[in-house]
Amino acid sequence: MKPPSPSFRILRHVVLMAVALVFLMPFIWMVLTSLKPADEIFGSEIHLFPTRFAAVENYTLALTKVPLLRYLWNGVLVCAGILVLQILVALPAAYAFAKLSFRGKPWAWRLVMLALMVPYQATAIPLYVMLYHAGLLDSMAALILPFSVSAFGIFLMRQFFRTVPDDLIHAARLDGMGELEIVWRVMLPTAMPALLAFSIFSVVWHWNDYFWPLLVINSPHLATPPLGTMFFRNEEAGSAFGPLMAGTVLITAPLVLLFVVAQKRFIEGVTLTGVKG
Amino acid sequence: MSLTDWQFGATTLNWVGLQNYAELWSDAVFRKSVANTLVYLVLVTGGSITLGLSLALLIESDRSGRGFYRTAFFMPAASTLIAMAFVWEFLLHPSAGLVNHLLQQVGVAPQNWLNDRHLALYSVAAIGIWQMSGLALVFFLAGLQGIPRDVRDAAELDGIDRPFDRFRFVTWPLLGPTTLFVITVCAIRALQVFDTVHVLTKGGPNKATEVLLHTIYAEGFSFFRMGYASAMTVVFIAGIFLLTQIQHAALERRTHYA
Amino acid sequence: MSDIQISGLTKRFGNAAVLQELDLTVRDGEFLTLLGASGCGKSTLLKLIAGLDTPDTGTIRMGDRDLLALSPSARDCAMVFQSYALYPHMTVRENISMPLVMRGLGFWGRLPGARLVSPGVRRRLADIHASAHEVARRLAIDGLLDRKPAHLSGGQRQRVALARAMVRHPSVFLFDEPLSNLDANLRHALRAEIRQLHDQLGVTFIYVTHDQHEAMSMSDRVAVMREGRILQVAPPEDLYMRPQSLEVARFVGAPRINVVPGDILANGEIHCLAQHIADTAGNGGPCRVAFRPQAVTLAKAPGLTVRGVVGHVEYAGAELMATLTLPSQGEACIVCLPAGTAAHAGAEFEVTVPWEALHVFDAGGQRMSIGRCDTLKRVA
Repeated sequence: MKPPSPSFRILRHVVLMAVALVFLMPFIWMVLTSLKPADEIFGSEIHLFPTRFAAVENYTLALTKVPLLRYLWNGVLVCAGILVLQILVALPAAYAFAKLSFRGKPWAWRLVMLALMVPYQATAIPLYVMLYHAGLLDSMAALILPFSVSAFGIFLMRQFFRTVPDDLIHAARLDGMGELEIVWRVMLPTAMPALLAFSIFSVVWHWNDYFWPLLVINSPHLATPPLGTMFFRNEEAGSAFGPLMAGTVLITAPLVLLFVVAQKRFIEGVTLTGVKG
Repeated sequence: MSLTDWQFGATTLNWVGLQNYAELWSDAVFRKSVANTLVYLVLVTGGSITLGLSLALLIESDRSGRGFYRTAFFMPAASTLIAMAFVWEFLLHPSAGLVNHLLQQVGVAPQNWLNDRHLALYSVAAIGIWQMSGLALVFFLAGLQGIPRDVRDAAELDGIDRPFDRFRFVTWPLLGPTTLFVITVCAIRALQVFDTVHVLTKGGPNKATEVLLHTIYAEGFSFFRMGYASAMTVVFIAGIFLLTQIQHAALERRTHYA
Repeated sequence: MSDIQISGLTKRFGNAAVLQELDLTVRDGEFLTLLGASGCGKSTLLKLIAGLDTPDTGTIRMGDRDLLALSPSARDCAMVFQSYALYPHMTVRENISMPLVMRGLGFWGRLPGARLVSPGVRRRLADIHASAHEVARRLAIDGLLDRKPAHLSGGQRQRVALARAMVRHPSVFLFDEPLSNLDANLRHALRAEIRQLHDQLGVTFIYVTHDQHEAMSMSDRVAVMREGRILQVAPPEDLYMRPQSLEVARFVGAPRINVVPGDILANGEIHCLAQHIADTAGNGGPCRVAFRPQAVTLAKAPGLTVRGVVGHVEYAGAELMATLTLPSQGEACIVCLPAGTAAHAGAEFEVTVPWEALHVFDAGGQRMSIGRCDTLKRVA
């Protein structure tokens, strides 16, 4: 195609820039506000940049008023725990669905597809009751265990494994590998890109999840970042925007950084969320 | 469970048949909630797709800055929604919020965005669009790249050389399956809206932003009427299921274009 | 209608020049093939002619019209793509009609539903569909008009693409490797059909391919391209019999032409494999002597005698291909012998290349004209 005319190119940038500014405004404003003292935030005049820097106060307050670092650490633990369990379950299961034949396979697969379709919020009530009876409410296990089996992970990895030629597996068997060994030593390396995309999807999903922690967690020391922010706001009665913004900066930062570093994979991963629905 | 009157913590459980559903049918809050959810769904899906497609077309029309714009527009979709909800709360703050300040600069009266009965749902929907457009954009960009270069070239030789004609005869029809897919993805996600509502309005003012998932949460986990909440969940699942079926049909069709 | 004159055409992508100062004249009504390996710039050249891309420098003119100033659809060129490039959402009829719809109907006429409102639009659409039907009948695809491309075979799709190009009666047809995605039998049949079509329509065809058989069998003239330049433009026989450079000689013909080193003495004698094989007017220096595998004879004749040890022998029905390793040079030549020739692996064997079949290229790889010398005179 021919390159567009110069005037169009400029117009394109003007429009896109303007929209991009609107899209990024909340982020910009969040960072700027986190640097401002309270009187400036609520002053009748609005300055783009703070006239007096209050970054130290705000961030100190955000970190001391509630155990924000603790929340972040919880978030890391929960996401890591979920991811490891999901992979441990999904890889062998996906391998079995893709390459082995066993009795009841069509039915089992139909179950996976069904689980894939139903959003977890819909199963929240029975899950909650089950956890209650198991005495696991308000614990780390309540955050991690319900997500250890990811129908989506199984589905995605199976689709990938199906593209691995059977001959490769036959060769591995002839070389004397057991089935589990095949999964780790042959299938896993070939599925790395898919696994990476899935990992990002999983981390994003569970880092951001608010609904489930809100249901099962009451103790502040177990809160995940989103829930922690909520505690923080309740603590501050929603008026101290400076420290609150400082808190949100700290909580948003890990994912935004991950996004900037691994943009392509990140978009792949989050797009998978869309496929899942 | 949706057929019982079980309350969380209660030791008794009675079979009530379809009574929960009957109550749902006459429950003004639930009706309001369904109506709000549908309005939200239509606004956010429509808005995200329009915005996402326009931006995708604009980004794709030239080379420079593609990566930057994609990053910028996708940023909201990649960030923690709950944290961003706080930022929005602050941006829309009646007295200290940036939005009202800017509007005052151009002579528009400040609004109480989140506490005005007539505005609150639209404010929440606007945040929904802000968050979801990036996702739609990424799907559309992928869809646009999937249009074979040769077909565009052939169209140009056939005399389809003005942007409007190209969009109508080539781009739009060829994006058809992508669009259907994006619509269902956005709709399913819009149906699951919870975080922003819970943080910003708690369903208020006067149930103006009560949405399905939030109502389920309130009934089940604030009032502990599990049986009743389960009945709502069944309705919720039915909605999702319907959309998923459409989405699967869309995915099927997508593969037909060889 | 008139010749297409291309001069000084340069196209860069980033730092890489895909076309370098290219000159070419395409004669009115001829079938010209651009032949070259992938990446030689032949498809780029085609796209520049079509107007799908713009050159950095140079001109393309058609008679007194400057093609570069015209939009692609105004250039009167139709193109057939390797991937067919059919509109997947339209039926065959709509695909074929598209160029006429865009020309024949205005903006309002093209709006959906215009047909229902305006009898004029209805009439014109009927005309267009009649033309589409007529073209489809000529290509024997009139039974497929209501199908969509996804339900057609590769060969049928390519016919639809051809029909879409024909329906507007362009003065130039451009083909971008149109047969590469088809299986061998179909490729053969369509080759003949396209050539036939050219003879019927009598307009200019410019055809891009990397397949030399395709190029040699269909074209009036072939332009051999390499690294953004045209090496030689000539009718197929000339290209084969009198390649202007070693590059062309190596590119055209299969198996590949054999090349052995030679020397030109100060007196103009050309020596090769210790034989005086021909004379030339040029100065002394090294040269290269080339001959085609098919050019060798078993009979003694004036020319170059090649003696070597038979290596691999491959039977190919009516003939056999033998590899000869020359003891002096350690080089291998391939020779094509009649079936039944007693050439056995490991044995010594001798063939002769008649001097008319010898090609001599100077140190720069350019063809030299040679004259017959005193035959069979051995040099000590």
